[in-house]
Amino acid sequence: MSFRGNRTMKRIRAREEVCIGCRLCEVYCILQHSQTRDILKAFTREKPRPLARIIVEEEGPLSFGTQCANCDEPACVHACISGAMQRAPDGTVQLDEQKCIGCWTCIAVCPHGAVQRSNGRRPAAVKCDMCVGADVPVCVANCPNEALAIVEDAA
Amino acid sequence: MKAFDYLIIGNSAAAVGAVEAIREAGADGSIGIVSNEPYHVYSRPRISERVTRHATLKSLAYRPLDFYRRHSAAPVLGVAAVEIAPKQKAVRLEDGRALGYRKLLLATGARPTHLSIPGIDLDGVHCFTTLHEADKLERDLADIRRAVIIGAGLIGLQAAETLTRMGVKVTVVEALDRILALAVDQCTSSLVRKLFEKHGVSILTSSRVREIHRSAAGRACGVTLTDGTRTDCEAVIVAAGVSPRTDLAESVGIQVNTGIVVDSFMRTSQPDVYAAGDVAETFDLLTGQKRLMPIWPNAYMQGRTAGLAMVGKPVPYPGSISINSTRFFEFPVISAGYIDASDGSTELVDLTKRTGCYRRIVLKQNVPVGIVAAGDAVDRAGIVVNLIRNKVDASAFLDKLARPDFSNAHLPPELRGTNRGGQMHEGH
Repeated sequence: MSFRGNRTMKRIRAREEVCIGCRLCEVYCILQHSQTRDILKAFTREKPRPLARIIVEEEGPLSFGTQCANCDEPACVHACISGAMQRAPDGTVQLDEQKCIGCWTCIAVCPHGAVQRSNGRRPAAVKCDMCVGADVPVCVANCPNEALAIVEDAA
Repeated sequence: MKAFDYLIIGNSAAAVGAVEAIREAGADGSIGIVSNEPYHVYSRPRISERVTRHATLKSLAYRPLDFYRRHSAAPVLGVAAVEIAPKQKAVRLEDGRALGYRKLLLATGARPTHLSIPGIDLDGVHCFTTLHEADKLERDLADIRRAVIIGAGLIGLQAAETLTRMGVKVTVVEALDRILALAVDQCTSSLVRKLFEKHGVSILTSSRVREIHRSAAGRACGVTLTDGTRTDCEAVIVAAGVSPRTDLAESVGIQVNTGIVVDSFMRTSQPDVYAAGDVAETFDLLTGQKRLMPIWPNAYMQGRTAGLAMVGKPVPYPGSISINSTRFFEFPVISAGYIDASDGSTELVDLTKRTGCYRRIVLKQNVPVGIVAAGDAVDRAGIVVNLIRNKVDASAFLDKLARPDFSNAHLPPELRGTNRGGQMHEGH
């Protein structure tokens, strides 16, 4: 069930058959969400180092990236007790980190395991924001093997 | 008489779920929201911040302050609904006004369960479920050195932590033989108990309060337990569970069992009257039984289901599993589904080991039915909760399910998720 009308929805799709587990997506995600946007400073100086919003999962030869799927019926939005997790007008699920109180209900309900606990001083959830403002999320743009791709689907 | 297409009594999670569903579904009928509470919709689980940091209503708001305007919903706040007149299709308010409805949603929530203890009505005896009560407690705080909390459930322990943080010496009295008995398993219960004791909270289990004492000034000044011991205090917090506020429904003969009886579209026994949230029974996804499950996510989803049905775009409620997630003194605990493995037909996978990090998964015939996670083991618990919700047979990856780093990569290809092209079952 979905009420997105005729709007198309961009999603990131992982192709596990071509993912080589290089974790460049995580590196670029960290950079994108750093204060300095400088790769050396982001990795060496920023304390705490930002979390990657994409998680490269591995088991034996299998690997693929997992991040927020922007579900049609987002359990995290429905379950959020503070109202921090909301559906944005563009259809993506966005987290207001200032509003988040770190109760981790979203972690309990996200079927993908795509929400993480922040490593900062203030407890707050952390998740993929589709690189708000960017045409293509940095994980997709920088994947050397096209194991991450943007797919568009109609509702 | 002013009339609304959709009239909602209640102004919390279920009401918001209904309002958002009505507008998402494209219905443009008028919406009215009646509540005896005078506030913009706020996050009830956050009322403790009113005590600890004088949080503003704006910061506790569950939806932005322009929520009603943006959803073209008329808030009628600070006035209680006192009567339903189903024949006239109207609700009478305590100030004498009447509001008509085409569809009515009862989202009246629950109230703290009343205890029949001598002294329960004294000044200085508090509850901890509304903003008003939190403010009352905050006003009294300067005079509170010691507090007794009746009930070691989620609300009681949240009150205990709040008061402890404010320098109050807290004693928690719990009738059952362990704390959080309905929410977590034995091991997590002990972990959390030790944590509270480390912070100086006294916890008395298998204990009941026999009487609350009255000071010369007429306020609560101590309690005596059923074993005769006496504890002095300046405040008593009653947190012995909640009971659905079914009075309105019952007064017009709407069918009520443990809560208001609803079908899978949240319809009550009265035509055009729906019920959702803590006041309504829910359908337990794991047992198939109707029961109360007064937790925030269920309230929202029931409200959403009611809203869709009220505008004629019904989607049946798939049922609920009980999910609790919270932090006690920064220590996270998540539980979901059935965590009691004592019925014999249940297998257990126990994944302890790192200190302060604990995960237990309960299975029935290799299908996970419950999870308890504490400390770092809460991470990505939703992957397991999703297996529980979808009753997935875990035989093929049982050995991996037990790993603390259990992830999507351990699932068979068809279960790995939408963003990888697989058929995914989205939550609820």
